[in-house]
Amino acid sequence: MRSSQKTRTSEAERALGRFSDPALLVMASLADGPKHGHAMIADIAQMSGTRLGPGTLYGAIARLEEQRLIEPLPPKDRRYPYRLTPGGERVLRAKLNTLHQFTLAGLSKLEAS
Amino acid sequence: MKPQVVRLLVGLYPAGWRARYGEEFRTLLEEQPATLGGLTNIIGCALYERAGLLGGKLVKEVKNSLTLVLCAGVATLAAGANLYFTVDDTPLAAVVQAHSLLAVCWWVMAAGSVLAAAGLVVAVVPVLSAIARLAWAGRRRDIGLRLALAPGALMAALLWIVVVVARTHWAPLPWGVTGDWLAPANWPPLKVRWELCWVTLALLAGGGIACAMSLRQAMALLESLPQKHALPALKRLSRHRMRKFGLPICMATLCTIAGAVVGGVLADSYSPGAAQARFGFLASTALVSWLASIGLLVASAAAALGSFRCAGSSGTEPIQ
Repeated sequence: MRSSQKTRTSEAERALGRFSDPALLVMASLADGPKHGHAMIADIAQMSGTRLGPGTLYGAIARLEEQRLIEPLPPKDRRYPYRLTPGGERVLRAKLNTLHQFTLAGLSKLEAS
Repeated sequence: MKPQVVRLLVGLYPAGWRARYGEEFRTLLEEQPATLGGLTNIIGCALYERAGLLGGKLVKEVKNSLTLVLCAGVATLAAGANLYFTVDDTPLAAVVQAHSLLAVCWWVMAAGSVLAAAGLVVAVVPVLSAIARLAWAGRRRDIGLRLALAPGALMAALLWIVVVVARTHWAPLPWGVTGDWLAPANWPPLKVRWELCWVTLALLAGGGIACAMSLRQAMALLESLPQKHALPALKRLSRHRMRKFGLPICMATLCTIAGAVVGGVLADSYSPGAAQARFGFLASTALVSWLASIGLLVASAAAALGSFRCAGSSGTEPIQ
């Protein structure tokens, strides 16, 4: 079960190509609710200190939508919000768990040295 | 950013991408300040999209495998028609009936052709109907019209033949213009027959080229459909069909080739006169016409194999 989830996550990463990291930032930004492009850029900048360019943001959005990890909502005032799909939530959770374990392992090595 | 600059920048992206994300991307850019870093980012990403690394790659794989398998179908059809008309109602037909071994070769050819044609239909029809359904769901008349061109071109060629037969009592086909036989008195003169035959060939060749181009255009237009998420499913269907039927089609065509090669050698040894008589395509000898069919069948087998390899060479399945 876990290995199949891992395979699915790595397949998603391969499909995201050079937009793999921005895609993770976009999914993390959508974790607390739907947002449109401008709000995502601001949220990601506040959350990670990284300011995504508009081209990179939409490159990631297009790939995430293609992978059905996010989905568009009806536009409001010419703004087009997106939200995570249940599949996107699963992939984000798996990826963040991996990063969390990696962080803990790295910190424990630092403390041991 | 100024609307003129935004329009220019959005215009750098591929049409399919613009159709799906253009409006919202424009809205976002209008709210962004025009910085050098931002401009570089947009231009770089537009070039990346132009390189076909999004939906284009998905559609390209479907396009290539489908085009190859359709080429295989057309080549098989042309080879089968050529073999049939080269033998039917000619001295070769009597030779085939008189020699059981040659008759077996003939039936092997017929069975191989029918199997290959059936495999092609089973492989291609679900993919084409999936594309048609996508076009219908997206209310895309431009895609639908391009898909309808193939049956339209075939109907036009058939209509032309029917009209000529009705008016001249002669079918304008390349096997019946002239040869080692006497033309009935009620047929049009030889010069007119050649002209009408060239019109048929032009209709078939032009229709075939137009169909191939329009089908490839129809698939390229799929990238601009709003239901972009449906493309991976289309790719999976195409890969599944081509992988499953590509090799059997190739094997059936190879079986037809084997029958045609052995049959050709036997026919030439049993009755050299009938093999050298001019009953073939465009007044060529039966043997030359037979060899042309074998060439077409080899091309068909290669195209079917190419389609199978094209469908099997792509990377991992996109996740759902």
